[in-house]
Amino acid sequence: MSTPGLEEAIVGLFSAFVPRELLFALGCTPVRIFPTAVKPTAAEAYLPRNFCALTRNLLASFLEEKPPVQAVIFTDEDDSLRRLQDVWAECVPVPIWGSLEVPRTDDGIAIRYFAARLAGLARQLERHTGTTLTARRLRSAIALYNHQRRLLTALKARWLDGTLPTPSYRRLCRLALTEHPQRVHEALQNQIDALSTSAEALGLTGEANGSGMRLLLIAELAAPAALVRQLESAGARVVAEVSDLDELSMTQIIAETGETIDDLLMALAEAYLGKSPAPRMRVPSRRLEYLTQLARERTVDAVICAYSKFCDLPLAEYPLLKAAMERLGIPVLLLELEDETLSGQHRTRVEAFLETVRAHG
Amino acid sequence: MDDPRDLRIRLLRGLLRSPLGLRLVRALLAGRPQKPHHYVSADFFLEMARGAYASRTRPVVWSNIFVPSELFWGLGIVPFFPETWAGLAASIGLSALGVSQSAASGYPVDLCTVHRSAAGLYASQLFPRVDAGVATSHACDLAGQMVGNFAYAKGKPFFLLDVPQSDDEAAVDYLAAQLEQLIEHWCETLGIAFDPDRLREAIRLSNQARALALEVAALREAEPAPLRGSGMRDQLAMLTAMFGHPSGIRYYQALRDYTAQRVADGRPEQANQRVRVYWMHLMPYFESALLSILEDELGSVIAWEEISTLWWDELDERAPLRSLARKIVSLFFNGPIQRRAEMALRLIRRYHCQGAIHFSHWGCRQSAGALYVLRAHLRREGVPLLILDGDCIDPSNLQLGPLRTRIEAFMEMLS
Ligand code: SF4
Ligand code: SF4
Repeated sequence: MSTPGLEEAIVGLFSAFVPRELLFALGCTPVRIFPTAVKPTAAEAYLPRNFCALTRNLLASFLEEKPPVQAVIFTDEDDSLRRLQDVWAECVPVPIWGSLEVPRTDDGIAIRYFAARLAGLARQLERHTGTTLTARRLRSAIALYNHQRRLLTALKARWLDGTLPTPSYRRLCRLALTEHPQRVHEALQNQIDALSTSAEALGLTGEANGSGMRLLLIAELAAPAALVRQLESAGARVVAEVSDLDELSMTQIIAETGETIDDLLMALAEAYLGKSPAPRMRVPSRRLEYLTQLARERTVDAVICAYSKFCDLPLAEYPLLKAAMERLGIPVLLLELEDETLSGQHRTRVEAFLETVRAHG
Repeated sequence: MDDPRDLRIRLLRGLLRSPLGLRLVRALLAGRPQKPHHYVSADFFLEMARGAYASRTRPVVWSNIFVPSELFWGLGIVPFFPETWAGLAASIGLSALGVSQSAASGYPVDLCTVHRSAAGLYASQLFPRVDAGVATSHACDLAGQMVGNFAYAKGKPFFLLDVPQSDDEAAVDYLAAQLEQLIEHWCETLGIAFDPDRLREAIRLSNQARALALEVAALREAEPAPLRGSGMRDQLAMLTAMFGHPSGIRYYQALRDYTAQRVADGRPEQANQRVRVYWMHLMPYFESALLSILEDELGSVIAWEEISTLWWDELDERAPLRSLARKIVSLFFNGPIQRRAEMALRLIRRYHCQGAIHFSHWGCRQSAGALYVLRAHLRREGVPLLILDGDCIDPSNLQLGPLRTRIEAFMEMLS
């Protein structure tokens, strides 16, 4: 999360619903916070043991060592984040610069409400950064992140066609969420160039290896790297990851044409509310349609839900998801994880699942 | 059919779905010793059950408990609250069935048992027909998700009221606009006609019940406390279902008169009163010795319960939807935890409580996640807080021994 040579305040985010463009236009470098604590021990005095494991790990990360952020912004994304914000205000010495309400629907009135709340967040940030929001600044921030999305889309195509290995693609996605956009662009562009050169040199056609089992992973922030490693070393291939790391981040190009700040905030509001549905957008049909459609598009053989333990919404959605996937003949495995690591029991369950899918394949 | 509970379940299914069966339940209840307001609430819920299970004249909408009941009664809809019915099922010993059936339906065991039990009762076909689902998004993540799940599984429309955390005018406008959309949606999908006069009448009835409920709250300031806190565990069901219905007025009139009489006669329900406490969150809905240990053995009187708190201002019949929107956003479980903590401190002072007890229902993130901050707020004002971990639905998840020791130590400290 270091940004040598760049002066902006680094502001930590816990949600994919905060438009990074807005923060950037106000002189901040928005970075998504990934937990660094190995265990949530430090958070135990503040949050109960049966509380979202990711939230506890995030809190522990800030209590153990201070990640290099000057401030954070919260959203009311779910009960866990609401409570984390309450606890944070009492015990973490990193200031909260804003608290953003994110609607759970995306019709006209929700978009207008969200745009008004974004304007409120902008006013809060202006006070902290001393920078005034202008349409020009906001427009160029949108353009900057649109550029990032185009680069990532190009890389996703190379990942899906098998040219870019999954760990490399995921590393770049994470970089995009956690670093200054200009540094990110350089890294993404370099990767694209390297892929083109090596493909030309080797005469690669860029066709995906069609023999492996194709998997859809569903997680909240990101599926654990250890899980991806285990799956791919067992010959399976991850072909979609529905998490904030990939499909649930803002992937669509946002209109840069608005003339006024209000126009641009409306464009941001519409785009962010309209992004692929997270479990919190609680009209179940919409999310299930999205997931089943994605499974069909990527010709998925099986689904693995790698959820944080005590993360209520996806867990409550799970029976419907399982039924919907099984109607398509796609088996589903549920893992409830305490942290980034996989226990021996998790590994065994994954192995057994892959074997069963293969046997019935 | 190997399950020995099957016969009981089939019997219950039959009873609920037949008008005669419901009359039989009413007759059985009438024979039990009850307080006057309990007759009113029993009649009210049986009437609701009749509308939902045994009659087809009005649409049945499943809802979480925080969609204002005035809306249902003002539109001629029969509401069905899965959370309330899960509590009721626990009180008649059906928790185990609900919880085990929900596991069979694939619900992970770490979810709150209120919703797991509801899912199990649903799977056991103990819930009535459903024409649509509606939920607010605030206070409890799972409530909205579960009603959405049920509606989805039955192929019925579901409407989510997105509730902002703020309670400013913009938030009220936003929610009022959604309530308008909801009414339009129901007119289309349920074929009902919206009659503004009828909604206004529901608002009037609600305000009258509210005035009476506030009288009850004032009477409960008396020392000794006239009522047993454990007897008030059904208050959340009343506050969230009866307002806007004539029964609300009858209920609170009866409760007001009953409480006033107890105060006037100097005859409190609980004789042994040594320490006054404020109870936070829920209580076990099933029969448990926990509350009798606290009240009778140790002489702690629950002078007020958080969930008995009438949280909204008087509604304005000239602007019913804005009023209802304001009622929704002002719920003390909504927004930052400071709201809940400040309300707790106000009530602790009002009811002269020496301490507070928080019953931490297993799996409730919104409530248990707030404990550190609640404790810090109360401590700053010199109010000790005891946290009791347990389960209000599943008796197997309530360990009486350790809880007893903790309550004893707390009482000793307070007295
Ligand atoms: S893991 Fe789940 S409960 Fe935790 S913060 Fe993310 S979405 Fe919320
Ligand atoms: S106990 Fe908590 S999680 Fe359960 S229904 Fe109530 S508010 Fe929701």
